[in-house]
Amino acid sequence: MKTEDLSKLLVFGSIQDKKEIISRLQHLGVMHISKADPSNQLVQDSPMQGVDVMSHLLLNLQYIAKQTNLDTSFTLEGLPPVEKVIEQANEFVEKHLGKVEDLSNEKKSLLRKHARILAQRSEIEKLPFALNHRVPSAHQRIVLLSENSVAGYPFPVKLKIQQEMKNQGQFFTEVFVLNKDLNQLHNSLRKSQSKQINLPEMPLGSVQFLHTLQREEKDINEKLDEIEKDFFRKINGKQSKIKFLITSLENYREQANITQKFLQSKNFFAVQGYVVKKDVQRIKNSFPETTIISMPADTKAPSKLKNKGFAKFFEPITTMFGIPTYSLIDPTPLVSLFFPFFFGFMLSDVGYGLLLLISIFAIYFQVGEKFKTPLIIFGTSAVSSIIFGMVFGSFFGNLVPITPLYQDSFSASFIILQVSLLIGLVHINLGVLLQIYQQFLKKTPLAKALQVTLPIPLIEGAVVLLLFKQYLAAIIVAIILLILLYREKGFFGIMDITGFFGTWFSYARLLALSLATAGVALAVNIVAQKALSLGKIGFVLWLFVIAFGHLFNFVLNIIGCTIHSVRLHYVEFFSLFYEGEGHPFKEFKIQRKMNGSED
Amino acid sequence: MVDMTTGLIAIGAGIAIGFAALGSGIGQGIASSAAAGATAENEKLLAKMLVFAALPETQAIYGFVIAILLLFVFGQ
Repeated sequence: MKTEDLSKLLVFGSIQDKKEIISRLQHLGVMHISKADPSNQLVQDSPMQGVDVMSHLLLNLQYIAKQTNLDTSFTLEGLPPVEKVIEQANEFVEKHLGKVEDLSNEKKSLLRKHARILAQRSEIEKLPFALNHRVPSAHQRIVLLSENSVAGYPFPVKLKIQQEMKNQGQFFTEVFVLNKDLNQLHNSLRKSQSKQINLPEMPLGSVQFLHTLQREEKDINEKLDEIEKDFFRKINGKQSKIKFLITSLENYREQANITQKFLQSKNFFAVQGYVVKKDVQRIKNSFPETTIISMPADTKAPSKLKNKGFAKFFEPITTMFGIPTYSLIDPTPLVSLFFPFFFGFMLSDVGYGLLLLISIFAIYFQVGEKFKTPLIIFGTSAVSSIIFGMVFGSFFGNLVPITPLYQDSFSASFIILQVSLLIGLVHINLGVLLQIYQQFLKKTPLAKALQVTLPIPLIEGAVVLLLFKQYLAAIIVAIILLILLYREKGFFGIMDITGFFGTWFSYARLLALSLATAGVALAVNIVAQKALSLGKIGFVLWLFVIAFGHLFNFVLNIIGCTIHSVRLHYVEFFSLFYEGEGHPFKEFKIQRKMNGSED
Repeated sequence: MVDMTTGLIAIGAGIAIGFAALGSGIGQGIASSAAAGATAENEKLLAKMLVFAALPETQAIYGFVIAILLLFVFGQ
């Protein structure tokens, strides 16, 4: 629940070793390099020029551009700034290698299809007979392979044996079985020492199916030939080299920029930075000839978050508000629990939850790992929506009737309001506990810590005492509260009391949005139901209203639930304790690793 | 036939949520236009601006709470 503990490092080296040390630090990739303060002996360094390296890389890029015939306009005159070169090189890659990667992916997909066809063909060609009988309705064709004939075997289900043939000491039998008996047959196959040959569905028989496969195979081979020509003409095996050169340029750019943070004298230079405590020894071992001084990190240290697993995906929600201050609380683990919970509570519909889940899977299969973080955030939120939808019995409103595990949100709205406020109270008090922990981390003097953390528990205490009619005790608590608030913020400190109730009632939005989702869904269903009574066109209208109405409600509420879940965290929860004034820990490391998948 | 008290409670609930939503809507309009302006200048602010745009909705929530209390506490 707090940021990673860091150590501050000072690395001193001789000017001759500078390039070597920078390169090794970059390859280790564990140090956040910060700008060192100049002293009497050491002055600010300037960016490396490295003309030789730049020239070499530029010449290579230009050579490749000409060789691949991809872009004759790729020319760089003189020695432009490194940023300009990287920009042009990236444009070059995006323009041409992107297309090549698409072709490469298409090729992979065609090869997969080709492999499937080959596998199916080989299974069918192993059979000693053709499968020409038409499959009757409600039946399935199965081919069994066994040591002995299955004709006399007492199967527990009725089998229509079409043909049986012995080939190389084994019996192949084509049978038809009723769909409803399939499971029972599968269970009995083990006892009969027969096994089923996995074959694709062939309603028109195996001969016809083999013809179809051959046609598909021919099409795939033609497409593959086309891609091969295009692919090799365009790239001719150069793409990995281009990527390597761009990577080198980017790494060089990092090295050139990082030196601005160094200090140097005539003979020595110094690097100042921060590393995770466990990496200190690793750095010391990697630079045995260099002087390295380690000390506890100061308040200027960057913040490295240490969330693992599921919680890590929710870091962007926390950092969007602000990076946690170094050595203080990182509330991401709690955000990872409460965000999907709030989202699910507010959407609370099985249909919309499923729709969100399907959309997420569709996006995942389109874009892959690239958008994993938002997909995990919304995936868990979708599951939470499905669960709350089941609790309140909502499936596209009342379109699909399901029995609620509790009650529908309209009948139980007052109870749900109370539950929402209770959840709010839990959330707020977790914030208070985190504030207490934060004061402990900051080693705040007790009197000051009490002044900051006590008001909310005292307000709650006074309310509870009033509810139990303990008026005298309530008045004493109220007086203590007013004194604390006056000492902390003066006369306007009293506003904190109304502020607390404002914050608390804000959690009523959990019910409000839940009702809004269910209400609009219900309205869509009522309008659609009216349309159904319009005769023949009614069904088309019904379908139109249902599709567009629910899509509208779905999109509107996904946006609404996201914003309000985020808002409950930022405004109500974080305001109680969170100090998002840190800056991120950025390792000085190799920027892009080479990926040889295209080769 | 709905009796007078129930009718008045229903009108009260309507006024509570109606005026709260009206005020909230006006506030949201002002906040959202400013947020849209800020986002146009700096796209990175989009996420924060969406939250700012949603802030004035709290007043509507208060109206909603009052309406629910009227209906369920006094209306029963």
